[in-house]
Amino acid sequence: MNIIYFLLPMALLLGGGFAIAFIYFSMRGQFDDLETPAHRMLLDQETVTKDNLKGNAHE
Amino acid sequence: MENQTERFWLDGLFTLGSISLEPLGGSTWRDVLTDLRRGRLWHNDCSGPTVMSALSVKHSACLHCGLDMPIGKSLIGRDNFCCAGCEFVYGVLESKGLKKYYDLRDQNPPTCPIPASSPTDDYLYYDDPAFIATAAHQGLRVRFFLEGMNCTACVWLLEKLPEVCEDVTSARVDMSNSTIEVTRRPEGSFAKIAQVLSQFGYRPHALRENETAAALQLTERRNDLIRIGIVAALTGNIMIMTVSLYGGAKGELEILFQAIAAGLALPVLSYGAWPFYRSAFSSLRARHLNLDVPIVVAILVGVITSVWALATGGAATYFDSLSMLVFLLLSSRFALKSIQTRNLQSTNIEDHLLTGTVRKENGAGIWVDASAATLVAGDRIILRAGALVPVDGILDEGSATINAAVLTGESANLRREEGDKIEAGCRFLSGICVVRVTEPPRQTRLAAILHETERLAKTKSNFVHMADRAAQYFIAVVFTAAIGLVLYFLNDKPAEGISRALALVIVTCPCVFGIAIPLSMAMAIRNAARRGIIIKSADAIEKLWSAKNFFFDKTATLTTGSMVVVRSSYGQRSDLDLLIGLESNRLHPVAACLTQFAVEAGGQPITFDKIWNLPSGGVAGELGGSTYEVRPREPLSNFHKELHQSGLATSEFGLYRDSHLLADFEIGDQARVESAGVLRWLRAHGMQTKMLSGDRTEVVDSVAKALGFAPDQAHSRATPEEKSRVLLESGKNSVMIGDGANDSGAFAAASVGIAVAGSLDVSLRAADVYLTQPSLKAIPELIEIALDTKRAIYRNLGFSAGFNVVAGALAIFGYMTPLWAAVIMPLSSVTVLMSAVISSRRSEPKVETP
Repeated sequence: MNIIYFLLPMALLLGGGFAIAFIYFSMRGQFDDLETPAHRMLLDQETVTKDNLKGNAHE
Repeated sequence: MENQTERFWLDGLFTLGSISLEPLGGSTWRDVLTDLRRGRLWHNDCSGPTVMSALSVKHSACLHCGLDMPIGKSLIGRDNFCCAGCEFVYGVLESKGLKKYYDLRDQNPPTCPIPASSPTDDYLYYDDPAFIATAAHQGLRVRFFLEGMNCTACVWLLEKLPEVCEDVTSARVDMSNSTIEVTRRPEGSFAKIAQVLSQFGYRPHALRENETAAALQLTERRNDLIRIGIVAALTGNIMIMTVSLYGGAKGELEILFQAIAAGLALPVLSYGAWPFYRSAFSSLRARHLNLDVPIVVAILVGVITSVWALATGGAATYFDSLSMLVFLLLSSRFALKSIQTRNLQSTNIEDHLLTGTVRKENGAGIWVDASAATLVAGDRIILRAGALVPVDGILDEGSATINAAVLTGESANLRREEGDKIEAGCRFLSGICVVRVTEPPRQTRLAAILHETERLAKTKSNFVHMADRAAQYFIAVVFTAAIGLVLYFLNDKPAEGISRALALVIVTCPCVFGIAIPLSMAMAIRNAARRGIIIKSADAIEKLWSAKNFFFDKTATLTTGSMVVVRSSYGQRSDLDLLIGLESNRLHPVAACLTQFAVEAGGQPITFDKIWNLPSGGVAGELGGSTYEVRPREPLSNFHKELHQSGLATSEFGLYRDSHLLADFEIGDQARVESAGVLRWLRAHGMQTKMLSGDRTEVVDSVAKALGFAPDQAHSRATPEEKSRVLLESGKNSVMIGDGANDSGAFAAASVGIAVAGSLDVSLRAADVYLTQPSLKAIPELIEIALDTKRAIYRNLGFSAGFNVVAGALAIFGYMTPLWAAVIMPLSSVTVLMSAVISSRRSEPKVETP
């Protein structure tokens, strides 16, 4: 059962890491608008730019 | 007149769309009308007593907005659109290749038909330097609150704004706040951008955000989210620890897991639960028990018991349950808070009148543009056509046609001559005139009304929530029982009494009030918003549960608020040509309405040799040796009398050639297509409907008759002050539905104020609910939503009461072991939570509209 003394801090560290990431992205405004992006992603991208041509080539 | 086509506008008789009729030989139009009134023509087979042919009833909807075509309009030749606004927007979208909007909109139920509107405002004040300085970020970026934004198609269309309007460089939609952030080109005009938005049917309200207040609000939201995130992470880990404990961890591990759980719970119960401590403390200081008091007591009792157990080696720790409780409470409150629209409430009501610019005569007699806010008594100003008058004043030179509907509710346009008074809040329609300011914007009667509105609105916020009232009884019962337990065991086994009392307090923690009610309210507000009903706070829903008296404004609420030709009869198209020739150059509103009608029906302008005004208010012209006149018809036709008997306030005009009648036209402010149905629905559901209008008695009486109000339920000539007094006196269960500044006081005085689409900014701000679509059908929907929410909440309360009685009884009689209390408490929270979510989902399609 000694493994638990290793796993426990690891688990807590992992949880802490996610919590810190969450705080960081909240501060950056990632969760300020939770509604529009859900709609925006339903809309097809029509303008073909160089960037998304490259993206398509990868697929 | 026997063989010509007659066109009718039929008030409230049909909900089916357009209908065209023709009488056969032997029957008269009077027979047709009688049959229509008796509702005999509902079916295609007309084997009724009157001989009829060519009867067709078809359903038709506007290509743009998808609303049913109003009968009067579909009959006058515009086949695919219900109004000029819709036709215009459709044209713009088509020309810019943006017709995909319609596909998107139809793909995305619930659909959000955007009503197009011809702008009633030119928004020129958005180009005022004073406005740009206060509202625009770096002079280029402004956030607008938009009415009527609901679906994916709206997001798509609005973010295409740079393609439609070249003044815009970028547009970003924020649906959760119903706002759009628009950046203009340096030389672009915000007024033009606002006009485009308004033409597309999204009425813009620029948010003059106090930058610091807005930043504070954003920080608060982010802090709330971070708090929830941290609590969620900690609670998750606490759960993992406790599961091992429940699973039977023993010895060294048991102590370790308990210690870790306690350590993780420390921030949850201090930092996480801080908002509850603060709120409970301030409520105690105000000598008033709110919901947070029992919650804090349960948390504190739980913490003390758990720490005691930890110290003495007992098994009864509650860290997991308490953390879960804090997490659920925080989340459900956050949901409610982030859904309520606070945007429109933040600004000062009076300010909106000060935004306009006017042309003012400066000391040297030169006319300059000036902000309305700078005006003082004695200034002379010129008004723009279509503008709201910002001051009280006297007409110094010239004459004007104004409409005072916003201020008084009177639908008819008024003529003002030199020396007459003009009040702030009137809309200046046409004319050339100079106004001398007697009261600057802040001292007008309108300003006084708005000031009073604001004062009333503030007193209104003292509403005590059902949850808080219930919490007081709850607290009394639980704590009496707990103290009773302690006293009962005091002599025998004091330890047993204390442990049972603690179990009781913890297990009966009022989750349902703290979690399920805010969540049900949040879901209701969201459902309503999807139907174009913006509810500003959950209070309005709770107040609608007991709503009994519905007061309606008339002009622009029950009626459409604009003059239209409701019936016409003419022989040939050339009659229309004559009409345009005579009327098109006059500024009179009747002339404008007749011209519009004739142009829409396909008339072409004719040039007369000579045109002059008649003293009776009509117009005459000479063409090819004949004299043509348009004037009030004499004698009145039978149709007119019929229409009057059925209760329509209209006036009839005739087109005469050498005093021989060629054609006649009936003009009136028509009731909204759905008004009668909505009123019937309300009455059928046991509500009292009343009409409260500032218009003239004759007009109010006739509309009252047409819409089925009893004579004593229609109140005419009500001043804004009277309206709010009537509402104040009518008690707690009154609802005011209206649109103008004259209703805003009544909104604040009423238990719930509902502003209809197209309302003035001030009314929007004073109202608790506003409808973003120009249809009163939303009112029954709103009531259904409120009542569904009530049912869901009461079901949850019932469940929770049952649960608390059983669990409480088990605790009192000593059967509730600490383990069971710890498992059951979060279980009951999750159950009510699920029940709130599921019931609001299911209730969505249930609403019936008349």
